[in-house]
Amino acid sequence: MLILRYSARELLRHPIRSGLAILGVAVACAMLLDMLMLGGGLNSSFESLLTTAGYELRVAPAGTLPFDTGATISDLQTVRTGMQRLDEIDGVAPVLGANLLLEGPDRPRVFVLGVDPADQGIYRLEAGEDLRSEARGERGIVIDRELTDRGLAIGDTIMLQAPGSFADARSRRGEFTIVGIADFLYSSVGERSAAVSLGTLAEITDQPDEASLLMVRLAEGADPEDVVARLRSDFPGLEIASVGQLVERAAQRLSYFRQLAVILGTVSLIVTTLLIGTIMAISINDRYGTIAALRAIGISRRSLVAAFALESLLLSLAAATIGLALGLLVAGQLESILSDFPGLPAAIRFFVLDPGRVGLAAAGVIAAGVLAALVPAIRAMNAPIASTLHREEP
Amino acid sequence: MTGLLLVLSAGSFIAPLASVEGVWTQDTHPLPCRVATSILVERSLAADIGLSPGDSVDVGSDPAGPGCRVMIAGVYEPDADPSELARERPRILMHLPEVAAMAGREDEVDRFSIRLRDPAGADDVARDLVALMPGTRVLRADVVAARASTTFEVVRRFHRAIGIITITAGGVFLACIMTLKVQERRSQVAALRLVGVSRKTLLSWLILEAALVSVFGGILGIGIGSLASRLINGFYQRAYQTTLEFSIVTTETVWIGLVLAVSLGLIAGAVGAVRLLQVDALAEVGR
Amino acid sequence: MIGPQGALVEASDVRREYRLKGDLIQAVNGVSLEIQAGDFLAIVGPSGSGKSTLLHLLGAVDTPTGGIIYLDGIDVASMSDPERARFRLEHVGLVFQRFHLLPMLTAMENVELPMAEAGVSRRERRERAAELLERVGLANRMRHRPGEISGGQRQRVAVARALANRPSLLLADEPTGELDQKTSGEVLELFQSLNADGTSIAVATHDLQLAEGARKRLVLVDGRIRE
Repeated sequence: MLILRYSARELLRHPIRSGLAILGVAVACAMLLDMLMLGGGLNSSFESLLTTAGYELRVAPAGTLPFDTGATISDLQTVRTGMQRLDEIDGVAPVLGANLLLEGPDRPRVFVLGVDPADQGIYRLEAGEDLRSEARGERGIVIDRELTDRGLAIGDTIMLQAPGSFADARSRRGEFTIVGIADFLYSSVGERSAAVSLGTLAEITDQPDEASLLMVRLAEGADPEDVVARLRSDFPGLEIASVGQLVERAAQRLSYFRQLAVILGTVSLIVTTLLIGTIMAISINDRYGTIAALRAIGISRRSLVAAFALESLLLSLAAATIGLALGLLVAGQLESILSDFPGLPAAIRFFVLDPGRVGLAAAGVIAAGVLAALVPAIRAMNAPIASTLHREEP
Repeated sequence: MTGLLLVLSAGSFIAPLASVEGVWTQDTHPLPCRVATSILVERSLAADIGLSPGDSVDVGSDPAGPGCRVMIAGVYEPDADPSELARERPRILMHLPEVAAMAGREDEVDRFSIRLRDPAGADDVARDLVALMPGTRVLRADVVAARASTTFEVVRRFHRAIGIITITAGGVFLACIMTLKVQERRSQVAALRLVGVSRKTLLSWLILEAALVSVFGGILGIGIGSLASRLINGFYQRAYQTTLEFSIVTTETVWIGLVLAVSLGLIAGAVGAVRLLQVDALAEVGR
Repeated sequence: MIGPQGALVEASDVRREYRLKGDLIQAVNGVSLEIQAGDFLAIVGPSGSGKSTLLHLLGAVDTPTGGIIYLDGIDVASMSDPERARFRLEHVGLVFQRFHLLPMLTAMENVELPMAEAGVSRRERRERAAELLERVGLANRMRHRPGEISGGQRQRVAVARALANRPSLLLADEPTGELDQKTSGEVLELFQSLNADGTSIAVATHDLQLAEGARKRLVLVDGRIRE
């Protein structure tokens, strides 16, 4: 329609005004995108992290989350055997965690994980050999990059000591040979991590037949919620949760970010609506006389409203395009701030790029912009033609 | 606080059933199931499960085990500690020896605090203690406080980044509105100039108008912010059952807000005014 | 089409009242007139006499509070708002003092606008727009925007736009109000030329030159025709 061609050119008629409006809405769009990414990012990132190694359930001591406290699951072998009797369970990987001191000038703390080398989902080997093929006998250790940054390398020998054991130091320490370097999936930023065999760690910490956590792998087709329900009734003294349930609990702990995302996302939409609504209202007010004249010569209300809606749509589209790019840039900066959050796995991302969220941000801004323009447009359409002409003509 | 040292074991683990802290009194005998003993429960736990002073409950470290019958001596309000906000498990207070016996950790503690006669010597004392107790970490209290505040430092930086983005959006919004106002008032200002009002007078009127709008807008903004702050505190204090203040409107934040509002408003107003006065009055009126 | 009495426009005891801050204003107070096909009528009167209001009533831009107006045989007050808009698009051409051309469209596009609204094909409306612009002496200004041409030329574009859908009646409200005397004369010549070709024209004006150039005159004072 010819009248629609008018809309696009009208924006170019006032380049500064249009440019500033686009910029303002772009910043609001960037904020909206970031808040949408933040709102869903943590959950999807956490879920992705938990399912990386392919274990669908986590088992911890009653009333705790994995590694939340020093509590352990006792009678490990009995529990493990009992669980593995279920057809739906493919494997049960025990993990024992303990803070040990690395002997050396400053005695840094290392979070050591005792695992079953045949079945583990705690780390991904990057160099050297895994504990599975312990070429150097029983006391092999796999370390992370935080420890290699201290100058440790494959083949080095290190001494680890159990905590609070100054009274009986000799019996609660162990010498290990570094066999591999790995990425520890659940380590937090700055945390030093290492892995040894479960039996070895249990010996050092005097925790035989105990585990801090069990990672359960389900058979294909098994429903995690069903298995959780069955295990809960079979093992009432344990905290059993599926990945989905863990994600929900983690989300509750970090609910502040979701609430902030909702509030700031809403504010962004309000700013968009206000800005475009104000621009269009003033722009339409400027053209009241022309609008009345066009209606007088027979141009329909529908055509004129469509023209203003298109003007606003073009404004919003331009703003959304810039805003989405800006939002991705800002998200990177905000991610770098939040990555220092203590206690969270370093692999967690607060801002996760998802095409759905990008689309939603763009759609939100465009819809808000078009709706905002409709109010002054419809008001202008309802103004009586004759009295408007009378007022506008000298 | 700098005079206090916190002595930590390399791992701080807490008993599984409830987070229990103990207070050492030398003449209490650690035989919880044989001697009538009393505990304190925190207010939120008491409210949740309907406990009052004088009630008896069972406390134990094994969910399947019998536990010990104890009496609730009182209900206490924990300190409003931000680092405790996300704590899921409720707390009770017991005598230290009873906790140790119940958890099977006799003669053990997770940490203890030391008050020094001479706070200035804290670093030296810490070094000496580490040498004496190789399985422990000895930290100055201010270092522990700083580490515990990491979360809030991250959140503070995040808030500041969001604040910068918001101010940028607001600044662009303001510039846009000022541009529109310039266009709206061209003929008015042109007519005034033609009837003899000087540029200087017009400039001062326009800037005064911008100043008044900025001041009133800033005050209104402070009012809205204060109200929002109260709503935030009310909501989160109820949600987390705490007396902690999540949002505080300080004199400093009020001044920063007002100065920003007035500065941005004056700059935008001045730029708009200068542009308005550059318009060719005759051409504008004769259009 | 012609009205019950055979005229293009028949107005009988037409009144238009409205309230302004509690006062009742009678802008048009019992006007009766006829415009025959081929007429060139000038409605003259002092400022505030109701000329523009009467013109708006005759053109179905506004509806009377009393009396009746037939335009092309149709009672304008009996139509709904959208029907009146469609009617104006097809039967009435309007020219305004301030031209009200769309500044970001070319002269050609401004003239095409009513035809586009009426659903005329692109090819047909381009041909007609070119023809009209040539008719009003602007063949070499078709691709210029209103800001690039003079006031007189803008008014000619407005006239071409008003003629786009071959209206029965061309109504012009103070068409020379923003123009100098020389340019006003050019606009008068254009109207006379169009009238000679058969276009029925009614102008509301206080421009004496334009009023004397019309074939009939009607004087309006305080909303009434002065005999």
